[in-house]
Amino acid sequence: MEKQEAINFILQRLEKNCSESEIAEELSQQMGVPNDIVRKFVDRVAAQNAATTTPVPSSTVQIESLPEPGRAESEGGELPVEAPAPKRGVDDSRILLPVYGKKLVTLNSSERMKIWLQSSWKRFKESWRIFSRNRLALVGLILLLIYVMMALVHPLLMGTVWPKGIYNPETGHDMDIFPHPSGISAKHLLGTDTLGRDVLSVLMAATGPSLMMAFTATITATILGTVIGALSAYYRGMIDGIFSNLADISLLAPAPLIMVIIGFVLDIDPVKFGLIFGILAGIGVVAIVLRSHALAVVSKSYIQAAQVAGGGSLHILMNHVFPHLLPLAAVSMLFTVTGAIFASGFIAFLGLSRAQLNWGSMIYDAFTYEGINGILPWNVLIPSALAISLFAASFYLIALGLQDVVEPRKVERRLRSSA
Amino acid sequence: MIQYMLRRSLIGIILLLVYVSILFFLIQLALPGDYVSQFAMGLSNAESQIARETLGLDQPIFQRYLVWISKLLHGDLGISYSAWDVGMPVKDYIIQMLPASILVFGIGTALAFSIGIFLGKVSAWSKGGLLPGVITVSGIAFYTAFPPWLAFLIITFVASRIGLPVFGIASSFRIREPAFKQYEVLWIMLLSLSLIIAAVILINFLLKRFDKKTIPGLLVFILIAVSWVGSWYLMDIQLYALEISKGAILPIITYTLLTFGEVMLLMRTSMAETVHEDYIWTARAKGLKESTIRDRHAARNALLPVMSRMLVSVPYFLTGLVMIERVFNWAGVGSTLFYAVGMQNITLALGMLIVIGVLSMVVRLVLDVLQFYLNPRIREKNIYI
Repeated sequence: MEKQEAINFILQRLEKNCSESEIAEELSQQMGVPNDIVRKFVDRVAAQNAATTTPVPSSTVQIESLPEPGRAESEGGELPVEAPAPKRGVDDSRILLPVYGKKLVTLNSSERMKIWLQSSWKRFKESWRIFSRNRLALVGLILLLIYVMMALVHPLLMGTVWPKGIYNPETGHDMDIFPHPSGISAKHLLGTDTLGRDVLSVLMAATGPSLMMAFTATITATILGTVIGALSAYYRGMIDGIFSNLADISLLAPAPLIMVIIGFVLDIDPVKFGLIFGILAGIGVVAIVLRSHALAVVSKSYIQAAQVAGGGSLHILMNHVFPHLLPLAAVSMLFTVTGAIFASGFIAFLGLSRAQLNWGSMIYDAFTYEGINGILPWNVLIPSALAISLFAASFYLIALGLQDVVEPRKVERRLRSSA
Repeated sequence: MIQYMLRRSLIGIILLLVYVSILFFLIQLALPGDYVSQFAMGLSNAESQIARETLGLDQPIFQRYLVWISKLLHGDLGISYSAWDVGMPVKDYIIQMLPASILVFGIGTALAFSIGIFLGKVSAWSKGGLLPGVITVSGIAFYTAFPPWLAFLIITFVASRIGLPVFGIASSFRIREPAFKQYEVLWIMLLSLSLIIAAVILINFLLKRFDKKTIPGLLVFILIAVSWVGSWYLMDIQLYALEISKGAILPIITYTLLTFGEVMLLMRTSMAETVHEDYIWTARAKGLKESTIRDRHAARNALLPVMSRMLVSVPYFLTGLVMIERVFNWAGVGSTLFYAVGMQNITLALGMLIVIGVLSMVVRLVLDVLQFYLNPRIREKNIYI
C-alpha cells in the first residue's frame, strides 16, 4: 500500500468520525507494520487534516484519477473503490501548472512527454541551424556518414554481388587478372593489390573495426571525463587534488604513445583498444578540459538555487551539472579521437596487428610487397592513406561544428567580424 | 615566479615518480614472458636460469621494484639488459639518444609555433578572398595527415629529387671515421644554439629597455640561423655538423608540418574573436598601422587561449615525434623506446619513458613561463586552460 493510498484511507475514516487509535489498528493490520509507527503517521495526517481547512479554489479543474492497471490489481479489492478524497487526495503523479490567473491545468505523463519532445525537437532544429552554417562541419558529417555506409554495405555486397573467392578482404584472389597489382578496372574499382585482393573490398572491410574503435574511445572518454570533471569541480578539495594530479601524470605520457607501446607488444582488438584509449584520455586531457568548463557551470547561480532549494549533491550533479557538460564533452572528446585513430593506424603500419584489417596495415602491405616485386602499388597506397586521414578529419570537422553549437556566442562574434 | 616554478617542478618530480612506478608494474605485468624468454630457442633451461639470475629477473616483482626505485632515487637508472655481456648503462643511452630527439623536437616545435601563429594571424586578419579558406583547409589536411604517409610523400617527392639523406645520421661518416661520436657533436650544437638564443633574447631585451625598439621576428630567425652555422665553423665541427643537419632536415620538416596545423587553427579561431574587440577599433582610430594593430594589439591577446590549450596539446606532439623517429629511423629517444619495448628490455624502456616524461614536463614549464610573460593576471590557481 502506498503512502497516498494510506492517507486517503485515513482521511475517509476520519470523515466517518472514527477515533485515531482505531484507524491505526486497522491500518497496521492491513500493512503489517507495528502499531506505534502507524499511530504516529495517523496522528500527523489527522493534524494536517485539521489544519488545512481552506478549500480548494472552486475554479479548479478536477480531473478524475485514472486507475492505473497495475495498482488496481495489487489492491485486490481490499480498499473500496472510492471517490477522490475531497481535499488532499489529488493524484500526485500530475503536475499542476498555473495558467491565466487562478485557472489550473493538469498534465499527465503523455502530455508531458509530448511537450518534452516538442521542445527538444525545437532545440535540435536550432542546433542544426548553427551546425549547418559551418560548411566544414557539414563536410565532416557527410564523410562520417559515408564511412558508416561503407561499413554497413560491405557485408551486403559480399553476400550478394561480390563472389566470395575473389572479393574476400583477406584471402580473395582474382585469377583472371595477371599480373597483380592491377590498376583501376570495371571489375575492381580501385584495382587489386600485390596479393590479388580487391582494394575497395579491403578498404570497406577495414571501416567497421575503425568505426567501432573510434566510437568506443569516444563514449568511454566522454563518460569518464564528464564524471571526473564534474566531481572535481563540484566537490573541490581532496577529490579535485587527486584527479588533477592523475591528469598531470597522464600528460607525462600521452594516451596515443601508451597505446602505441601497448599495441607494439600485444595484439588487441579494436574495441579493447578503444576502451583503453578512452580510459587514458578520459582521466587525462578530457578531464582537464571538462574540469575548467565544469568550474564555470558550478559557479552559476542556478546551482546555488538548487542547493538552497534543498537538492542533494547527487541530484544537482545529475540534473544540473551533467546536462550542461555533455555537449562540451562531445567536443573535447572528438579532438582526442584523432589520436586514437593514428595510434591504431601506426601500430598496423608497423605490421604488428597482422590479424586485423586496418588501413595502416594496407600501407604496410604496400611497402612490404614493394620490396618483393619492386612495384609500388599507388592504387593501394593512396586510397588507404586518404581513408585514414579523412576518417580523422571527419571527426575533427564535426567537432568544429559542435563547438559552434556549444558556444554560440563565439559564432555570433565570428559572423559579425566576417560581415 | 621563481618560487612558483620551483614548487611546480617539485610537484612534477613527485608525479614523475608515481608515474614511473605505475609504468614499472604496468609494463611488466602486461607483457607476456620476460627479456630472457625470447632467447629460449638458443638457451638451455640452465643457461636461461643463469641469465635470469644475472639480470635479477628471478626475484619477485616487488623486490625488483624496490631495488630499481632506490637506485633511481640515487640518480642511477640501472643497466640495460643484455644477453651476452654486461649491458650499457641506461644513462649512456640517454646521453647518446637525447640530443637527436631534442634537436628535432625543439626546432620543430619552435618552427611549428611561429609558422602556425603567423598563418593563423594572417588568415584571420584578411577579409574574404581565397587565402583564409586555403590556409584553413591545408591546416586541417596537415593536422589529420597520417604521419608515416606524410613522411613517405616527402621522401618520394622532395628528398629523392634533391638528394637528401633519408635514413639515419651520417652513416657515411661512420664508415670513414669509426671514432666519430655523433652525440658529442650534437650536444655541442645544441649548447651553442641555446647560448645563441639566450644572447638574442638578451639583446632584444636591452634594445627594448634603452631604445624602445626590437629586432623584427624574421630577422631574429635569420640571425640565429646564421650565427649557429657560424659557431660550427668557430668550433671546427662544421664537417660533422653539416652532415648531421642534412639528415635532420627531413624529420624536422615532417614534424613541423604535422604540428603547425593545430596551432594555426587555434590561433585563427582565437584571432577571429579578437578582431572585433573595441580596443582594436580604438587602435585604428588612433591611426596606427594595420600591421602594428595586428601584431601588438590583436595577436598578443589572441595568443593567451592558444597557449593555455597548448599546455595539454604539446605532450601529444611528443607522440608524433616518436612516430617520426621510428619512420625515419632517426637515432633518438623514440626509436630506442620502440626497440626496448620490442625486446622487453624493461630498464631501457622505462629510462626512455622517463626521458619523454621529463621532456613534456619541461615543455609545460616553458609554456607556463610564457604564460606568465604574456598574461600577468594568470596565477597558479587557474593554471589549467
